[in-house]
Amino acid sequence: MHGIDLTIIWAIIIAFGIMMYVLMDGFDLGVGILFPFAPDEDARDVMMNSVAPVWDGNETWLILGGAGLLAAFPLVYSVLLPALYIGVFLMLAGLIFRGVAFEFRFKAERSRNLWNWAFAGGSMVAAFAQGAVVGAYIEGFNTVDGRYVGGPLDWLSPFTVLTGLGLVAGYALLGSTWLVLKTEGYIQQWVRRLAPWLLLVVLGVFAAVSVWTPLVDPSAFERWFSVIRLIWIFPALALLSAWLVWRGVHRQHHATPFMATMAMFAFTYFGLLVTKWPYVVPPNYTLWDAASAPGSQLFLLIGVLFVIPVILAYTAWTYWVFRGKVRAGEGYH
Amino acid sequence: MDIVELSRLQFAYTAMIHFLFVPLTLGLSFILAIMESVYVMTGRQIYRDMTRFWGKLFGINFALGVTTGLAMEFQFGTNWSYYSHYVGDIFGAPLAIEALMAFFLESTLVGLFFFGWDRMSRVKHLAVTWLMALATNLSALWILVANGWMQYPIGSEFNIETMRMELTSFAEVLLNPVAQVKFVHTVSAGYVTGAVFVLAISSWYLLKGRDLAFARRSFAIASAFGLAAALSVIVLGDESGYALGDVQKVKLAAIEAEWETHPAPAAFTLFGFPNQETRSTDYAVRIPAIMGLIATRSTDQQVDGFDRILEHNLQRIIRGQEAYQLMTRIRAGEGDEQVRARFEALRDDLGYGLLLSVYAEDVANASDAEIAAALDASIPRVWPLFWTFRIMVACGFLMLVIFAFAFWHSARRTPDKPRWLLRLALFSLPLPWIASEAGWFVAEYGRQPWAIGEILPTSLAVSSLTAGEVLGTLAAIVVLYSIFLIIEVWLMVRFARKGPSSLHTGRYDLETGKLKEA
Repeated sequence: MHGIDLTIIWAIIIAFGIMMYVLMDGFDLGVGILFPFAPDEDARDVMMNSVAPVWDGNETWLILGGAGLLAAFPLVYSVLLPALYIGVFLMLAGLIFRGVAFEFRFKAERSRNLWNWAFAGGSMVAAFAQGAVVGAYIEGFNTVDGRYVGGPLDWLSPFTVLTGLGLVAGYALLGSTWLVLKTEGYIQQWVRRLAPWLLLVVLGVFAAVSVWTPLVDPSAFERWFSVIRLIWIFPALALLSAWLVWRGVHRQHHATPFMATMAMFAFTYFGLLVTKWPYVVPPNYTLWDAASAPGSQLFLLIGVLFVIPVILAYTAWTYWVFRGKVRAGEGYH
Repeated sequence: MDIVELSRLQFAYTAMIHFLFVPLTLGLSFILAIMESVYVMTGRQIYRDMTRFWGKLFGINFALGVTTGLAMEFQFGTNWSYYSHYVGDIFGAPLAIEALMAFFLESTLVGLFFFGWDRMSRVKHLAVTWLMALATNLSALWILVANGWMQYPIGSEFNIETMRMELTSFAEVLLNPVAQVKFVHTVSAGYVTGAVFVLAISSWYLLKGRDLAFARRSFAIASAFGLAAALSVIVLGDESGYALGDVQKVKLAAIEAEWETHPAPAAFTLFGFPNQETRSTDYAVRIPAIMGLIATRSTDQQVDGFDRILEHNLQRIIRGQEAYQLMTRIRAGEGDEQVRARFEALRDDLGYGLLLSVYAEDVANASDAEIAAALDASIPRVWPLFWTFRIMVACGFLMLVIFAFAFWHSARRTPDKPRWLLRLALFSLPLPWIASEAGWFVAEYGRQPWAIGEILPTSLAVSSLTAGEVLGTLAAIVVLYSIFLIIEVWLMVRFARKGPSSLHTGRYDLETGKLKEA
């Protein structure tokens, strides 16, 4: 492959997959995080039914991220997962709890309250663990000869606790604006009141993380203040999106708050990517150090380029089929 | 227990629990598609109710299948990181394709299947159901391509520069004969599982004399589908035996306890007590010639026994010892042309050198005792394989007989099936799960001592974690999965008892007052 660097294409594909995961599973995890605060049990039924048809497809982006890393960047997979062992385990346990809660909550009537907590708790734990993993990635990993040599709890620090809590708040914001889109009446009024407060918390955490990052990773300071000034466009657009979220909620729009929240997340994510580029296992390994052999990358690439558009098409069709407000009595009952 | 055994236990437990849900998903999804097709073609409401009721049970099962599967995907990295590093290039490819081609389709369509009844035309919904069934089967294809490669790694080679395996031909990996027979055998086993599930619960309704029209139709579909599936699972299982004879001689020798190479055609050991110490089978009952026929499809070719296999393995360990030393020299930068050429010649035996490195601190000067230990470890323990294989086969034949009777009575349209048959069908409910678990045990335990057949020993494949970490997650997984499994079974029983009345259509016996809550 002359002139085209497969490794960069793969990095873009996996970055895209992870972004899709954060945006899509983000809002249904967010619905779970908001679950205990819902006005009543009927509202919880509606909340769960708003994501019941789509959560499983959303979560599949995580599997693509995992399997894609294993195939295209085996080093990332084999260093990061043992380093994050307990965090990854917590995330998976959280996802299992909330996944079965969908099915069990509506079928096991007497223990419904238990499954409410399984859904909420699982969503919170999974979101926190994912946020902490992002924080750990910013901090970097202790490696020697392509192996992780740090301790089992290195991923847990004041900084990663902040990023963990920040992602919980972020997903809750995504969930609340999703519910603005999908619900009406008193449920919609409740999330409309909630969204601006969540937005405030999220912006506060973003600000704190932005100030703190150069302290845990000095190269981040250099990246943002010496090299290419163009990257400042990402935080600027994220802030603009945040303003659109606030305005959309304030003006009682249905769809714009959710769209703008997704945009805000995407721009923040791009900001994170340019901070760490090209390191995939910071501070020691770049994309090219971690890449698999060109043969594997090329073969898979052909498959990916054909299949991802198809996936996006039928995913879009599914959202179209389930468009509009959640209908009373539809879904699980 | 050390980290290797703990990690193996954890993987075994998660895989075994995961595979309680998978075969039912594979089989039931096709049965749902058949039922819904009848509904769309005839327009008769009862078939829609059948699709929805069995679909409810499908949903309970599906939720746990998905979530336990998600956890497995990450275990390759968390617990088997050297494995992931060593073969991620190859093993990751089918996993990524599985996610792309199967998981997305399956998980998206399952939402449309459950919640889309009133939002789509009949034909569109039917298309969704068929595609969902197809997607579940596609995911089986890709994961078995990955597993088939672990059993019989072709289409790849070791790269000494990167110290990793690299893909040389994806076509070979995909068309791997082991993967192909495994796929058809496994999905057929799934169809049998789905059919037994529907047959057993329908039989229970018939025994209780409730929801008869619903139960008879479900019974008929399950018996026809099940008979075809049970026949194919046995034929394809035999095909699998043939493929083993060709490429996985060790596993074949283990499940048949073939300690010695017998003159062709070899006898089949029906029963006996394999004894690893004396390398013989106590109290063996043998049927002449059958083994040779299954494994070689001929009367004149020999089936290798452990005597030959061990002799062969010893040669490979000695060559592997040299390959290991050459590799160390090349890595240290001492490799001239000659050294490299010699390494190339011995590259295929490197795995045996790695196996020796597990038992010998200094591979170059390994003692005779260390070589003997590696040799002993080069074959799996025989008796567990010998017995689980027989349990699997016995379950398979038993189910075939039950389906044959059930189909006979359905085809003759006997309105009242004999009660002994209904009872037999009901009590056969655990059989497909016992057979599936036994089958996977044979496949995976029979692969030992290798994580990747004759390339990477299992004990070198693990992550560098502390035993405490793995013990902690293992304990948590055992507790969590067991609780979820109990809840799932409880829910299944509850909804099976309610029967189609749980659809609240007002047409079934518990609702019309014909029957009180069971």
